[in-house]
Amino acid sequence: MRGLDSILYESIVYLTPTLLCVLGGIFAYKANVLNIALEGMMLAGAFVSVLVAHSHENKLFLAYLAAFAVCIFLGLVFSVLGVTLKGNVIIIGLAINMLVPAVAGFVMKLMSLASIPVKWFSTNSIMISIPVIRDIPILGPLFSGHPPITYISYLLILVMYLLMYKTKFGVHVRVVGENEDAAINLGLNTKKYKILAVLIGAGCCGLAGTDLALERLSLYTNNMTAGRGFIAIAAIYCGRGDPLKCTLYAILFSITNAVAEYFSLLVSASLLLKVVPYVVMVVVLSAASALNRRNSRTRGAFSEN
Amino acid sequence: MNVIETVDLTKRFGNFTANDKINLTVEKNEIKCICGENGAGKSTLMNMLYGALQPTSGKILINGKEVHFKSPVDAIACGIGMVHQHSKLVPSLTVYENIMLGIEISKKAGKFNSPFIDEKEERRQVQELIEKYHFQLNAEDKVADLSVGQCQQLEILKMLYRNVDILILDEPTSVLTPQEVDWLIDNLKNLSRQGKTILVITHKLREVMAVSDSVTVIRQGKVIGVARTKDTNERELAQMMVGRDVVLTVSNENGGEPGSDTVYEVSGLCTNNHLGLDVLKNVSFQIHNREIYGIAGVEGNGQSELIKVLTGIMLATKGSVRLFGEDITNLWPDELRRKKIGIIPEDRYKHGLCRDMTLADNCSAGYLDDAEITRRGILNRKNMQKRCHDYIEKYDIRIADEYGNVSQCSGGNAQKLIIAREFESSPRLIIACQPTRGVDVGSIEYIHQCLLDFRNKGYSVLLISSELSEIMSLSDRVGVMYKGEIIGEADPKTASVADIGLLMAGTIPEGMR
Repeated sequence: MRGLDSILYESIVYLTPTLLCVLGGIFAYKANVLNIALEGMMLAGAFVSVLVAHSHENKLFLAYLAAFAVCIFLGLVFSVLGVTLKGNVIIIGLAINMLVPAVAGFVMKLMSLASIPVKWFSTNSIMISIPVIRDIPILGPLFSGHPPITYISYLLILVMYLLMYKTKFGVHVRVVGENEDAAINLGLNTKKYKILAVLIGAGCCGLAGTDLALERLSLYTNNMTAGRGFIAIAAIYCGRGDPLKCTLYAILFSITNAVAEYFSLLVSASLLLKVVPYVVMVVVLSAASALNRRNSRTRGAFSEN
Repeated sequence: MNVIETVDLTKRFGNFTANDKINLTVEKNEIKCICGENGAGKSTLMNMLYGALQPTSGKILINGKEVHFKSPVDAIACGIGMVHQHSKLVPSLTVYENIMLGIEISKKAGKFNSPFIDEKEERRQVQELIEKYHFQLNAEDKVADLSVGQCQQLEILKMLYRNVDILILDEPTSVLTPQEVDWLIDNLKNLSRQGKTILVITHKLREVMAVSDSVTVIRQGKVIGVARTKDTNERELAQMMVGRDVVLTVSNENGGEPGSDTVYEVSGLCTNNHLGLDVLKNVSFQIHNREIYGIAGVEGNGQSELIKVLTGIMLATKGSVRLFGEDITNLWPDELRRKKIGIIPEDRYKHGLCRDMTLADNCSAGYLDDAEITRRGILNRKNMQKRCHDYIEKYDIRIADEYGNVSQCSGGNAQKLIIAREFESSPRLIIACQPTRGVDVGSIEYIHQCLLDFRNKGYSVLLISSELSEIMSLSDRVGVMYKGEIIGEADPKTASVADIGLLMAGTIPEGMR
């Protein structure tokens, strides 16, 4: 049982930042703006949260706020360049993904640090342990002993679902993505919806980064996001932007990752095991796309949609 | 009193004048038709009237007051609504959600509006509206499941919900069955009796005569003529539209009887779409030599899929296709071309031409294996250019720059380029799909003549078109598709349009059972 509990707990550790990226990213996906900068934004959140905590003792709140603000700023940069000025969103996204670790690396060089620690802060102090539930097997590691942002991410699944399907904002975002002409004709400000969609994603990435670095490790090392932003994009595409389906894909990827991590501690070929989650990703992505095309009779690149 | 009046309305795009000092007046409660060929400037004019484009100079007066629309929203606020040729609906949403888009009803939380939508109230109001105007819709249906005709009803309803007084319809009948056209005409007349003013943009003269009170003809951005409908006729309007006498209908009567040898035989063809639904069910027909076989039907009844299967873009799950007895089922498009089948695709820019490549490249596309074009894998540019030059001369393709890209061509000339390429490859059979869609009247006449000449030389043509008049005047036999099947065959010389219309709507008329 200890093994299973540990795998489940580690799954949640991995899931929280990925899930936040997914939940934020679906709005940009539905608004037909491809935001590949999730990775860079999350890393920025991680970096800034730890940097602020490192230099401002006992001001945890300030660290959270700074990470969130920086990501919103990056979101604004992305949307001004990509939506308002109609730049190529892939290139802009790529630029953000490359810029963030470069800036972080530069700052760390100036500080003569290989990684940024937060010495005054122990992650245990913010873990929320829930009585009764923490003693139940399986449920315990899933729902108890996690930092605040993990619980926020659980809540956001429902919030994002309602926002997407039950509010004007959600309907309008989907219309903008599906038939922009129709949206313009009805007098919707399509740019506004696209920008807001990108900003929701950016804000979530700020939370994701804070959870990953400050809340879990109280430490920043460069490139610590390790592709979670791209795994989130994969989950968004597999689930076609539906909050619940995308969440399921994020959970699947997180569990595989935790299982691989767990077994890599036990066996000698540990490096090989680290490949497993990524192999699973490729297999699932291929299977999902084969499934989507299973009934298709069209040849080659001609799509029916 | 004039509901709409334009004074010297002009719109320029760079050096090109799309609308030149247009003076248009529309009276209250009348149904006005604006006629003109493709590219005459009808759509530009309408776009200015409902705010999608801003005029370069001139004035628009609505109910006597000058207006300046910045967007369609201003126009709707002023009581002008537009029903577009290409639907502006959102397929994944329901009927009521589409109607309420942008003006959603919020749930109340005490005195304030909550961010949530009151779906129940929306549904109720929309169902009420549907019943008030006797439309054949259901508020909760998804738009993706609606027929094209229903989508159009929905577009009209969307405008009626917004309480517009002036309704503009852009080519409203191009996708409807003859019966649906009648329904639409009746309803438009009804609406005008209820006090609405209606503008219809169209190039179909028969419908102009049936629906309108008055008509304005536009050619090359200028108003050519204005007439009361009862004082004019189709021939006169056509003359005004084109600027010369035109043959409105060509006929195939002088080419002799169809032959008796089976050239092309399709039997039991089935396939399904990406959702797993059967879109072709047991389609069978034969084409003989010296014969044009027409396939009619309302769009979306499997014609597109049939075209895709027959031209090698999509695979058949069952059934066979034979050319002179040889099995050619599920061959690739290049293999079909080597079997001497010429293909005029449904969407000329998606499947037929590459807009950003030169005319010469496009003239040889699909036939690069010709010894004249390729030797040991190297293209002979000189011969390609020569071939292109020959086609331009022979088929009267009007372009500014022989060495330029296809993007410079108008719809009609782009289509002629495809016609030239396919007819010059010495085919034994031509599959012609929507050969005159979006093509000007002059080119239509030319393309029809090409198809007839080809037939009269003894070859076969499969003609798939949603223009019923085209099918009726060219074909020797007509098959009508409904829900993936050919539900009936008819001889266009003896069958009436009403009979074919019934078949298109899925009913087999008495005489054909």
